[in-house]
Amino acid sequence: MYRAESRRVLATLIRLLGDFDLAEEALHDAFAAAVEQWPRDGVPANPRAWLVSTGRFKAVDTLRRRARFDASLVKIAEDLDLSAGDAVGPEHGELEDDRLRLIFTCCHPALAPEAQVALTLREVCGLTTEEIARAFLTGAPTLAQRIVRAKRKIRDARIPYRVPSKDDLPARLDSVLRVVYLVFTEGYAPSAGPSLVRADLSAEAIRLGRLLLDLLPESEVMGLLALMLLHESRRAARTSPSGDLVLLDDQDRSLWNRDQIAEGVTLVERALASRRFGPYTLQAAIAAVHAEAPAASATDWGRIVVFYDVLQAQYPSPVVELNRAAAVAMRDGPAAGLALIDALLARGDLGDYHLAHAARADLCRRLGRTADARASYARALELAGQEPERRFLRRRLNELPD
Amino acid sequence: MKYVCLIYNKEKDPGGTARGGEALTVRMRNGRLSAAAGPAADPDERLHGVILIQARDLNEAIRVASRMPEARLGSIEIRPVEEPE
Repeated sequence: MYRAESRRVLATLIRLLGDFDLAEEALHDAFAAAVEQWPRDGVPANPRAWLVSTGRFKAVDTLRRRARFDASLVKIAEDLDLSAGDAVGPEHGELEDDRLRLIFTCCHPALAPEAQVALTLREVCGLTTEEIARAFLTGAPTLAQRIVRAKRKIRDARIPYRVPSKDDLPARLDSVLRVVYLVFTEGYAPSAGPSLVRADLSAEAIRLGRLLLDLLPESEVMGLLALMLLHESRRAARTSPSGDLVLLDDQDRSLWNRDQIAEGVTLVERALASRRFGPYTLQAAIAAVHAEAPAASATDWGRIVVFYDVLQAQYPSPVVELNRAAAVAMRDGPAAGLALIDALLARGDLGDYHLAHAARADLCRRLGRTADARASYARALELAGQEPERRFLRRRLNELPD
Repeated sequence: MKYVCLIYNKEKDPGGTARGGEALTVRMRNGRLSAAAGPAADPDERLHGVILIQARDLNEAIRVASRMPEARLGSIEIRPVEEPE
């Protein structure tokens, strides 16, 4: 009950009270009152509305108490008290809007990206500061400080508690989707640490994605949820029992989660049909082609190259180009892929990206150019930060013939 | 010769003078708005002007800034200003 309802009630209290900290305090007071009164008087007909109005009365009390020390709070308390009558029975739709308001406020571009992530996990997902700190391998005091600063900034810079207007929605939705995807990738491929995946964060991101799709059925929201589900479906196959990385080609496809794949594929099809899709949908479409191949050798590389072409045309990036080169290598042979990667590296964009060197090494190995493969694996190893990836590269390096 | 002075200080509450909050930078490229926390940090960009605007909240301030023609060429740094009472 607490986890399911507390975030909805909090979202509404923030709107009514206009202050994150006051709303959180009111939320705790309201739940404390519920624990005391519900067993005695019975559960009210609309528990959520009861919690909202109780929280609000508690906040007015708090402000009154503080007003004895700070006269400027008297007026705020009075205003809240006067308008208290309106909010006793909040409508369902309005409450859902409040959750969307909360998401857009937490992901406001005026906040630093890491603050957006921390605030979203704290306020929207209801994770504790300690849980978030552990997930991101930072100290709890640092994280708490980051959240406090973000809340202060929301108040001081007047970041409004509102869903953006239709004109602003695409740009603002981008930053929300980026936050959700950041949470997911931090769970799926942590940037540091001994373990290759942190399941809890990925699950939280997927839950967020579902909530967002519920509230805002835009095609890119579908695309992002599909992308996360399709990646997540391979989780069990992606690491060996000893914690080592298993490449897509070598994964045991019977370990893939069929329900997540089916859901992901359906979402991709819906998003593509909308004709207003963006980068997340395209990446999900590529993941769907992999997911639908019964074996690595049966992958439809031609289709994958086509999706990368569209992605590269609309959202050009060196990383997309690298992935496209790898797909071309699968379709037309390693020599064609190597030519593309060498041209890319010659431009200097990806010189420090370990996967570019690893991909080059792999193609050279397949072409029998052992000395080139060795040099590229060694360079990739210098640049790779994650222990399981380093183990993988070292293994590949040792497997090369002399 | 004229010089413009943008006064910076680590002191959060200077007292008596207007107090500016943290920066947000807005750019328009190919019809897409990008807004990011932090000051306009491109060292190749020069200060081209200072405009004081009135807005209901930060979203409106971003909208106003994004419609300035300069947002399409360079970048516009927004800071909330609290005036002394």
